[in-house]
Amino acid sequence: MVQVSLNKISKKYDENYIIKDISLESQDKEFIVLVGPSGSGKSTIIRIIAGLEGDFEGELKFAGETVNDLAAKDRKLSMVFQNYALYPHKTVFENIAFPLVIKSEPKNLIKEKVHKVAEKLDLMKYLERKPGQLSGGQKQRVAVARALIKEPQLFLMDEPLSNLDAKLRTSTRQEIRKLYQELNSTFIYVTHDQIEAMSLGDRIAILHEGKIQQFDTPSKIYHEPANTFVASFIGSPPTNLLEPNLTLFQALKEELIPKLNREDLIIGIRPEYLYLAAEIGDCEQSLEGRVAEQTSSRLRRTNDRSVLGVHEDHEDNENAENGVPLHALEAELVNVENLGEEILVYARLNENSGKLNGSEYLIAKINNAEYIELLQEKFSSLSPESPVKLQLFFDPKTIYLFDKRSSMRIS
Amino acid sequence: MSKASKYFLLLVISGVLITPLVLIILTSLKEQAQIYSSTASLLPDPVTFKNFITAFEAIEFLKAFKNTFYIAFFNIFGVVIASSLAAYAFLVLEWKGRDVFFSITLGTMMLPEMTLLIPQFLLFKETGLYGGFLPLIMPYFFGLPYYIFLFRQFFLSIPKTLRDSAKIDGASEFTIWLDIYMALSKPIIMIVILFQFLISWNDLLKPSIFLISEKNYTLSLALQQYLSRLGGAEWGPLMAGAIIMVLPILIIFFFSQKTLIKGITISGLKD
Repeated sequence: MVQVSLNKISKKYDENYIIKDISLESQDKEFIVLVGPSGSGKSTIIRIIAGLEGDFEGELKFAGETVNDLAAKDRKLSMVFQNYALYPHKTVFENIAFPLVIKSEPKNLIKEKVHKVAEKLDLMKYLERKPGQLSGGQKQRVAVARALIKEPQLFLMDEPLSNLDAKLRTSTRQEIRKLYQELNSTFIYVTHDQIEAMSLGDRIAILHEGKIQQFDTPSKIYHEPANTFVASFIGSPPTNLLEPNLTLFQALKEELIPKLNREDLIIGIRPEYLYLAAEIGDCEQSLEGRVAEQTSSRLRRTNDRSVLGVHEDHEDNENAENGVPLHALEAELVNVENLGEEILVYARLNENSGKLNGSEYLIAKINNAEYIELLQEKFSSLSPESPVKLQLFFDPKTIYLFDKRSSMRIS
Repeated sequence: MSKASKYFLLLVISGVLITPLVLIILTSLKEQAQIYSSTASLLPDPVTFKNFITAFEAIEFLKAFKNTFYIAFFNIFGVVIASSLAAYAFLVLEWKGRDVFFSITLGTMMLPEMTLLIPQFLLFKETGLYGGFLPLIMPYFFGLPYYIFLFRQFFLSIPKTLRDSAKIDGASEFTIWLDIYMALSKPIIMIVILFQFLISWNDLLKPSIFLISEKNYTLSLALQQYLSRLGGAEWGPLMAGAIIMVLPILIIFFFSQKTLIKGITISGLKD
């Protein structure tokens, strides 16, 4: 039963801050995930919590008590490392027993406990083996077993799944979640994988350049990204960020009334909220970024979600729900990634539609079977001489607006 | 170069290297008369082991062997413990000025051993520790920079998370050093033991400076004293003495060739 609280924690190497003013508070028995790209400081934070990094500023509290100067061994926590940190010269049994041997617990008690944990994690067969004779998944289970045997109140995991293959990662993820539900302890979990973060965490702290960008539940983070970084980090593929051109800006302004100048605005559109025009490559139908009233009748539902105003049976745009018109972006097809159920369309945004911020291509996620076939066909005949032009539509209600200077979301 | 000429060259080189050894062995088995006979002959006739007995008695072999072994044992013991502890401190522990001290330690490798002898001699003389084995043993309990470097390089290959994990599980630095780092460093420990054994066994300079009493003489020193007593006249017993001296090393070489070669590659003595 540990409630972990970080208050303005900073750490610097040489003169540079690796993390700066990190404040974060877990509930008791909560599953917290720290996620961010490499170099974001997430591992430094978990190492500070573990007591492996000294010399930091700020205050670290466990259950209300300051533990800044408490030695790692006295913090009553367990940690699982990315490379498992198993002792190669010791057997699986000796590895799991190590924390108890250090505490000089009686031998028969150690044996009993090791067997109990090994049984739980299906390791009984391997107790006499050395780590070198185990597969990645087995090693990982030994590492978890060694962490479990201490019956800790706080579990720390530093990218425990990174060295596993994709399939194993998915199943182990479920097992970790199950473990958490059984154990009744606080978990702090570090990963660079946003899917892992979203599926495991009760709350997620997104880190970038040593600062917390957002600390919230997975659903809040997904639907209400705090800033452009979070928007561009979460979701696969992540949100498209673009700087609108004048026509687009004016069209948006009428409805959304942003309090900002065009130069200060970044709009974010999720790939699944970008829709294709029915006629791909129809160069004659240049929209120049205008509101797509005239063409909306030719739009189809390209996704399962009903697109406002583009239902096939509502030919007349005026009758569409809310009557909100769609905006179009002009782009050129670059790549198509077929994921089976759905397809990812990579497109280069035309200059007259705006400028992408931080990425090279606009990405749309299409899951309409007809479109998938059509796009595949177009893509296979793609050549520099005959570019495929796309019109990508979006509903202004589904977009995010960010302040370019602070990068914070305004709506 | 063709294979044949390569083998020929190797044969010539090994011939050059092995001839003295063969001559030593042959001479040690000859009688004094045959050695000094005006007609040169290669093979001993008759074969005699008298020289070995003479040498054995003259250099008081058993006592000298015991002394040499005693010194070598404590040299090795001291140097393995101290050098690995120092390497652990220089690599794993965090303390102010660590890297500067490490550079200084490495820098002392540049000093020729001879330059240290006089200060060492004076030190032991002033402190009254001069005369016994202590001056030959004690310095090794402070580690040697070369071995510190070797251990440190080897420790670098041990993942840092092993120590992190052990620390979280409550292990002390000493336990981590012994139970994890040393337990994983068996190859390098073997190499250090071998190197140091060879050096200690063959050393003549330091025993000749620090040992006064004849009862403390090491093999090399006893042999050298015997040689000067003979005035270079009795080749038979001298050669026999040399063989007695080299024999343990030959045996060790024979059984540890692989480790030794590995040691040379790990330590970067050879590319």
